[in-house]
Amino acid sequence: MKKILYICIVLVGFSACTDKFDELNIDPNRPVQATSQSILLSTQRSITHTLLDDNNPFEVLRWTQYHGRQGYAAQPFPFDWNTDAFYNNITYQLNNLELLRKQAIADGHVNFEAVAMIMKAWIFSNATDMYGDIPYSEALQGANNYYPKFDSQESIYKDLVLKLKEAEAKIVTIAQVADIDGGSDIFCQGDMMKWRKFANALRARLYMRMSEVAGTIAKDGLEEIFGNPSVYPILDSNDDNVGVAFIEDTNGANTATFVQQSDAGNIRPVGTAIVDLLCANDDPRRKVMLNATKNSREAVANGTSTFYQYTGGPAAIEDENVSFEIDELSTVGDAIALDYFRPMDVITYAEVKFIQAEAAAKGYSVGGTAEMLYNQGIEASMTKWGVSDASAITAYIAKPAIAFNATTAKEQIITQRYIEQFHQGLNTFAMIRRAGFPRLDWISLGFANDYGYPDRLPYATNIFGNPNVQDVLSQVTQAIWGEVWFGSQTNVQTAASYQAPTVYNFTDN
Amino acid sequence: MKNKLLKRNYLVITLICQLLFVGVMQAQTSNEKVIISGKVTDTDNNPLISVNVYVKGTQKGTLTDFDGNFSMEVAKGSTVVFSYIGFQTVEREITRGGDWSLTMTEDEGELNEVVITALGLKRERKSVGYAIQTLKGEEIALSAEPNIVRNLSGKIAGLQVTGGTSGLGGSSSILIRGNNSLNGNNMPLFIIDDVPMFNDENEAQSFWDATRNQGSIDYGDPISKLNAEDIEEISILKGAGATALYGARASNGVILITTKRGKGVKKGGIGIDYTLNTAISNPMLRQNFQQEYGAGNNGQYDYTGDRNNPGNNELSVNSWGPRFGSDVYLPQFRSPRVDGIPAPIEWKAHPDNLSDFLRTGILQEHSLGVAFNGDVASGRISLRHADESGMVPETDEKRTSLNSSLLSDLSDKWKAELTVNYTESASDNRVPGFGQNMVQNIMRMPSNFDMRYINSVPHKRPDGSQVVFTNFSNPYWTLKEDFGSYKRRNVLGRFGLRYEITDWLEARASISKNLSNAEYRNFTQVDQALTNAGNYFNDGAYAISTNTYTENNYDFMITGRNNITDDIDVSYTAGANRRETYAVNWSASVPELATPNLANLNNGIGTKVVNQSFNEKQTQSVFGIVSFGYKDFLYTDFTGRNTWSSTLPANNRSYFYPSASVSFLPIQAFEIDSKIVNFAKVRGSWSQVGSDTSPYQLTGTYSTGLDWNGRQTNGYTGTLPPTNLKPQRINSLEFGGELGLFNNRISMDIAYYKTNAKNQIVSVEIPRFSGYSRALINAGNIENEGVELNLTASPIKTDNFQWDINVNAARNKTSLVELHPDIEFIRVGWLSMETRVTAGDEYGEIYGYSYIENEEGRRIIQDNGLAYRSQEYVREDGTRQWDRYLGNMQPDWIGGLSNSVRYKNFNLSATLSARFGGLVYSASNIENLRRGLTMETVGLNDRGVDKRLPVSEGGGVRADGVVEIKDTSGNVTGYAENETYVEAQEYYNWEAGIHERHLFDASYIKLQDVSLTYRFTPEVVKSLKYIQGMTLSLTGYNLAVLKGSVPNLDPEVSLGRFNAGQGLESGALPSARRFGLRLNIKF
Repeated sequence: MKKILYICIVLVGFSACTDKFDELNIDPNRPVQATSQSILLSTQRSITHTLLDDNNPFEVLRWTQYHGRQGYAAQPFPFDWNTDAFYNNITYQLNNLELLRKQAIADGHVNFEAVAMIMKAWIFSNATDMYGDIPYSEALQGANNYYPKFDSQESIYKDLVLKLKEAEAKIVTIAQVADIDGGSDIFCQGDMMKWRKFANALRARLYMRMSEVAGTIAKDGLEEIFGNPSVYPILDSNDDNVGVAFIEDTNGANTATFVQQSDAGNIRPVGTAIVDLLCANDDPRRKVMLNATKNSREAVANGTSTFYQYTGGPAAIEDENVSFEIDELSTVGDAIALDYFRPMDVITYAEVKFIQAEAAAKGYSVGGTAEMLYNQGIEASMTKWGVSDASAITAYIAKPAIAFNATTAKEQIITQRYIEQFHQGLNTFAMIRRAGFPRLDWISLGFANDYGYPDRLPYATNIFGNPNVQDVLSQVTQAIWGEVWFGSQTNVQTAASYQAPTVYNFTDN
Repeated sequence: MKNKLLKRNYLVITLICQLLFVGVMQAQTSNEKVIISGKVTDTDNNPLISVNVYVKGTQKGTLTDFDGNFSMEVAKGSTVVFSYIGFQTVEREITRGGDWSLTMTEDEGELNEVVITALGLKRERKSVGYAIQTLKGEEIALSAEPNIVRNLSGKIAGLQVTGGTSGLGGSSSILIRGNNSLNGNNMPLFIIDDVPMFNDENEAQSFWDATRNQGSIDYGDPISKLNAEDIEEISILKGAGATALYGARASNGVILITTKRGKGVKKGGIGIDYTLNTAISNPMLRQNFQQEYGAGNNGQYDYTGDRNNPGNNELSVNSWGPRFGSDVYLPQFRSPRVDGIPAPIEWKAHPDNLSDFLRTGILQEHSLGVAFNGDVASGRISLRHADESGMVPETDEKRTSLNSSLLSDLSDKWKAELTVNYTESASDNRVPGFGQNMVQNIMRMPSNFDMRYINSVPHKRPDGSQVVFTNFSNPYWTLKEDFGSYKRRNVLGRFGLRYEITDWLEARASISKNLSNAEYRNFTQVDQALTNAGNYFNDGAYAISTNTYTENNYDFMITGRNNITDDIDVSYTAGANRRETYAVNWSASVPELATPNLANLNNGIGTKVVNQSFNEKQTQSVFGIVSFGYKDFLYTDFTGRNTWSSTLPANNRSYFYPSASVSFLPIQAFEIDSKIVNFAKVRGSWSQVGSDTSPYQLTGTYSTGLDWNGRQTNGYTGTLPPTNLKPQRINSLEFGGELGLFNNRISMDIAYYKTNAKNQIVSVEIPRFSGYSRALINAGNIENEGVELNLTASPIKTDNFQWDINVNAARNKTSLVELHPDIEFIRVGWLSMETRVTAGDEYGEIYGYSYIENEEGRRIIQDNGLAYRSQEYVREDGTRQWDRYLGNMQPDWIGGLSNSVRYKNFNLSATLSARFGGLVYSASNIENLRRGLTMETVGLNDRGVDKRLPVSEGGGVRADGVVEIKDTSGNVTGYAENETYVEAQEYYNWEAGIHERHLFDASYIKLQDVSLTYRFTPEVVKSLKYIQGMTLSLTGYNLAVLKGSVPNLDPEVSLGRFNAGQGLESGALPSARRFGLRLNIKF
């Protein structure tokens, strides 16, 4: 019997000690909590890579014709392009910002709350610009709603402007009240006045994007913002530009878009559309934004030629037997391409001026004439891109093709905005679809013959995992066609036939 | 009180120690001694060699010699036992000295056969109420394939082995009775001598991450490195009824491996066993690709040989280039240079490039085992060393293992066991296993390149630059300059004590440990060729990772047996287990190297990336089994286990799971005396198994890092943490019957089962606009229902000739009865199409783009001459179908047929394995089509013109189908025959994107293995001094595909070991056929 007792003792000794299980199951690898500023920095760092400088927008840089092609491709607009990388990070960062917003509310930190709302609005606007109707009102609810319904772009846009207004109004600019660590805020460096200006500028951009299909809302909104600069402060000089300023640190360097355009990386040619715009009018920004072809630079250096040549890669190449050597095409100018720490623009003073100018041209009361605002926009853009010669700017504005002309005001303003937004792929793509300008080069090839300029980005694969996608599938044709709401009243102006790229000769570079 | 108990506990431990180290009691006093001798024969009067003859209750004994003779001295009145494997044991009470010759009769299996069941408990087969199948070690070892997992194929009913046909050291997957789990791993649990083996090569892969491992290397899981020569027996426990006591780790079945322990060695003797295994491997299939066109696109190919200024299509890996011809001269890689410019030379095909690249793989394996039967202990120790070179040049693997299995009778009450298995495997270089990689590149290389020329020229120039000839790296650069190496050490150890409390009650305690440590290194060499910008083409890279896993199991068990009445026996076991696992993984990499050739982190430039993770988990369990036997015809078992797991929330942490089974023998029950049926059994079992999950799943966490001038960044997890996670449950029901006819000349086993896995803890993909990419939920009810049949027969059985057949077949249907109220379907696999499980449907539905057909079944073609895909086609009601259901990947039947024929000393056996039904999606075939390699991309079109000529010259391809005729408002009014021709490259590129086209019937019949063995006669062996027995075998493995419909591929393909891979093939490597020679000598 004693033996059985021993056995029981051993049995008991073996089990029944589960008190330490809770402790044992605490993850030693990852923290359970995070500070608001570390979440903000994390999302800002990551989302700017996705939306502004990552490899992902490259295809959009082709669509906007900032980039050109060297050789034939059967699909000038790849409809089987996988946009998962965009979409995955957009949704992931939106959720982080939603968590940040809730954490800020719990902490009573209104500025973090407002910042989270502004960041969310910026990301959501990019997402709807890409995909049209997307989940919005039921999005980011986690376990409460695995399958959020899709909202119309119209309702999303109408709500985004309200959210931006609400967020802007929450901001407290007294430094002591609610401080954000400037080092953890790479958009506005903790400057709450700058956040207000950013929110209003973004709101102005969204109103303008609605202007073709919801003119009244756009008019009221733009007049509200531009009519009350003291209530609605907005970007007022190039110093106010919101851009992700890089710092001298390997991780922090602008390692993508521009750099990959330079000789140091995978060199890609700039497009004929931007080359033509900059060269035909001898734009002072040419020497900043573009390099002359490598062949011509070598020829000048060798003394075999006196001309620097500029020529872009076409948007599409009709004949499969035609191809261009990279050395005979222009690339992104070294002045910006090799500047690893150049800020990437989120929104600039010049863009605000062009928005204001377009509003004025539409007859909205936004304080100033379209011509004045247009000229201010050009000056701001020139300054931002590093053109310091005021006489060159004046001379440029005086050229017949550039001088403001009320009958072609919209095209002129959009064209200047297009130059200003060089390499802002997504922002420009949305602008083109909304405004129909600038006039783009020939793209008609393959499916483009049937459907024309693309209207949207292909859905990411995960979007099909939501059964509610059935509600919006009929809007989509061949993955990248099917107009989105804000572009539904517009035809994009494209050339009717293929033109060999023009070679421009300049004596300076 | 507590103190007192502790004190007593302490006393017990002291007692154990004393017994261990101090005294081994010697009993046995004897009175009168006599000499007995004689000859042991079988019923056919053949001498039986090495029969164990010993005095009952002692270890004193001898073995019969080659003539079956024995002689020994025993005490008068003692009982002598004659035992021999496969024969019924005989006992004789020695009443006198002299001749005690006897005839032993063969044990006809079934009735008294002992099988090993869960927790290593030995049971008589007749009393077991669930399906269990066993294989002798010899059946596994006798193969040219060293991976024991692959050798199970075709031999066990309901067991499906896939993958790893590449020849060298990769893993294979086993599926027993279908998929139970929605994500992760469906592999069974391997238990070696009572020690669970950690068998995750890589961390468990989730279901939609099939592509994550592409391009990485399959180094082979630990079980694939086990020494087959050490195996005594393998028991396959298929159903949850058999495995309930292990918990849900065993929900996919258990493969119990018992190693050799030196059975049949005479007292005081030793037995030495040496085996030489050698095998060669070669590709089983030859690719059938077109040899008419070389590299390029649209018929064009310009070669400059200048990496910075490649010619038009020079970097294309497509075979859409110019047509070969004796009159076609083009500059090429093998051109001589004239003034530095490659000269035009004949443009011709080299059809044997793949075989010119591959070599014959060679395996050499030596195993030495020493079994002993000493005074204090008996057991076996063994050493194995294998050296294998792969079919791909420069690839290799070495495997070394040490195994020791010792049993010691410390006294007549105390027994101690010690098993230690150490396995080390390493490779200096292994080719990537999946996806786009070097071997794939060679397989699909345009045939204008000449592999013999590439073989003959260096891969590296003196300046450290790579000699390239197209877009991918020179294969010899990849093989000789880069490497993917690994080293893994795996230790399994168990120390156990048994104490016989009384003759009906025994206590056991054991500690077992598994330590697995693996180190993986990947090196990319610096390619010092300069780009236009003056940089290196490749700056090199280096990465190392180390995974260490430890598992400790502490077990205590008490087992007893009593007769309640004359008719009722009872046996019972009560026990407890505590399991601790701990894993630490770290990896580090550098993106760029300072000095070429130096594989070290310190040689890195740029940011070193270091990652580390810890994982710790504990479970505690108590369990019991009670078995009743009524007379000799009715047996029942009841088990129960309660487990506490650290990974579940406190309120769900403890969970209980029971099982019950019954076995009934009608012949004994009804005292039937049949000449035909000699054995019959009806069995049934029901069980429930509960299980937990991996640690740290309950709370959401942030990623953490430093960025931006040293400031912290945190991002929240993309997996939605669960609320109130519950343990998983698997309910299972099984019925079966066994029948022995004509004195077991024919025996049958049939089983029906139904398994429902509920509350599965599964990470499902959810729409990301919910804020999360996945959610961890309790979901689903996966049902597996199936039947299994196993038939063994010996149609001929004479002295010199015997023919044995085994046929097995199984049908399994996996379906998802329900999923989750909020989740509609789960993606299982993912390439560019997907496999899904949808609530209410069968597992493994394949969805993707299909063709569109009109009412008459004709394909609808677009105006541009290309077929509509479901994605593009807008129906009249404006709807569009993106992904369509294309079929199911589950097989209808799987099975095997083994035949074994013995004639005198020769034994010939062969196994066929088969699968019928189900589809496989072959990404390899898509790539072959896209690149213009398949035969259909060449030849004449329906106009009788070469289809590769431009449409303007009468070439191109016309899709067979119709175009829609529409009225002015766009309504379809009729159809017209498609008349549009499309350029061949464009046409086949488009077709490559239609998933429906690339689904193939996955059915196959394969000649799995063949072996021919000669057992040297005693006369021959006797003439060789010291040698007691010798066999020589010729073996073959993966010999031929007798039926299969996946072009250019071994149909037994799979992407990986996890569910994600099932039914999706991508990047399969050349399947290896192996021939081997095995020589076994016993000393």
